Amino acid sequence: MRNVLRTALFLLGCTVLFAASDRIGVAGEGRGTWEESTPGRWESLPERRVGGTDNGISVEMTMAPGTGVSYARTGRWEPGPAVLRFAADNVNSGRNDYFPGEAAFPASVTFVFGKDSLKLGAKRRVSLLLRQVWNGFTPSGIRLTYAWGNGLPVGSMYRLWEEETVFVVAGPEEVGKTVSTARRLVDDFGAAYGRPPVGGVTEVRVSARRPSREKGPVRASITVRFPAPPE
Amino acid sequence: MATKVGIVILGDEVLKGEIREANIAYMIPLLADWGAETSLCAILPDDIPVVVRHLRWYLEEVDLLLLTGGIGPTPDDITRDAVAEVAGVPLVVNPEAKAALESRPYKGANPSFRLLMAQVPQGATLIPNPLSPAPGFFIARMAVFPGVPRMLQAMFEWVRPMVSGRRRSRVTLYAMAPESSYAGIMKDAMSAFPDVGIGSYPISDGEYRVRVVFRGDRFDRTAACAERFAKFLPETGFEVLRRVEERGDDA
Repeated sequence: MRNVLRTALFLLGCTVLFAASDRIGVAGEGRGTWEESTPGRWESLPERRVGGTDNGISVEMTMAPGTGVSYARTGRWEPGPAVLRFAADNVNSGRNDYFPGEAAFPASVTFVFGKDSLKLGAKRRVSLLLRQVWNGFTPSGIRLTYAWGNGLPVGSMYRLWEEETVFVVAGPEEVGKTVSTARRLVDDFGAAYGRPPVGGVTEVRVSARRPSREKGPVRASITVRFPAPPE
Repeated sequence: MATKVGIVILGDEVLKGEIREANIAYMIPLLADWGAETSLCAILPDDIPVVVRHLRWYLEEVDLLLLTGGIGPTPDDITRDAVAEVAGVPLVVNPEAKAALESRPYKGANPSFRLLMAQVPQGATLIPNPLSPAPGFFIARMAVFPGVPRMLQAMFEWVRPMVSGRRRSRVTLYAMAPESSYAGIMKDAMSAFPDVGIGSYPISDGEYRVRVVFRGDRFDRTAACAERFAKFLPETGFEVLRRVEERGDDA
């Protein structure tokens, strides 16, 4: 009995430690609202500088191959306008942006509509689950991702997973430049799924990756303002 | 200050529509990237007096002229004669070029005509051609390249040290506004920032209808000019939807 109690306490302690390492507070206003992924998700975390505010986040990082970052913030927001600003001095040229298991963007922002989903049917749901077991899990719900693409033409819009649509807002031809864009999430959702979203945005995710097979580092920065302040 | 460069394409084949010119589109972005300013482009016929007259005129306008085409072995290849006349020197056989041509004989070629490609204006510097023994040459602020795009592209890096300058800053705004709607705002921005060049370019297909490009030697001034334009654009009922910033060498 004592051993069982000890084991339970040990496991509880491990869980608390693991959870704590997963919730790295972001410096600045709105501290603690953005959560950073653990180093274990990548081979290691890159050198990075982060500033979070009530309506956004700014991240600058220098990613060696095999590193990446991901910051997520959950809540409930109207799908209003978003202002995104990206910069990257390289792309992951060895990756195919069309394949869920392959796509790895040097900079991207994802808006998750967690209360909305597609009617896929049981068979396709199981198939999706199995593919996610292999390629990594995504947040549930419909997602709009704005990405610095690795090869597709700027302006491309395509379905990456069944419930994720990617908008390519910059690409290799803009390497070394800074690209800002203002997006109306409702319009983009309508363009992607042919209807307005059900419920609001439930999660904003900022991520950047440099896969291990790429050569050399990538310096990138992402700034998100959502909801965008009125002009 | 960027080197002012002129591009001259030589050949009736381009003017008569026998081939589609492809070298200008290759050279201009590279030159801009290297910090040069392309201030003129011309396509001239295979006519020595016409070419000589224009080259003299262009040399008054630019620091460097880049010429392509007209250095082959046939009688319509007149570029070397025209350039020699402008430089005021005779054509001579360059021993290095001659040796290179002789060391790589070409099956079926007529040696005497082929060796015409070893003739360059006296005192010219050879521009190596990694794809063929026939070189380009440089003399009197004129760099002469073959017109074959593959060869030009293989040789073009040679000119880089001559043109490298300060890259200018550039801010590009994308919007759905019709050009006429913001013409007044553009005029206002032009007078407020005379040191920033502004260009408006319609996009026929794509996500946006127009792009407005701001170019300047200083990034802060270029960005401020773009900011002023973006600030007033909503008065027309449209707004800037995308902005691309390219910092020049001043930043």
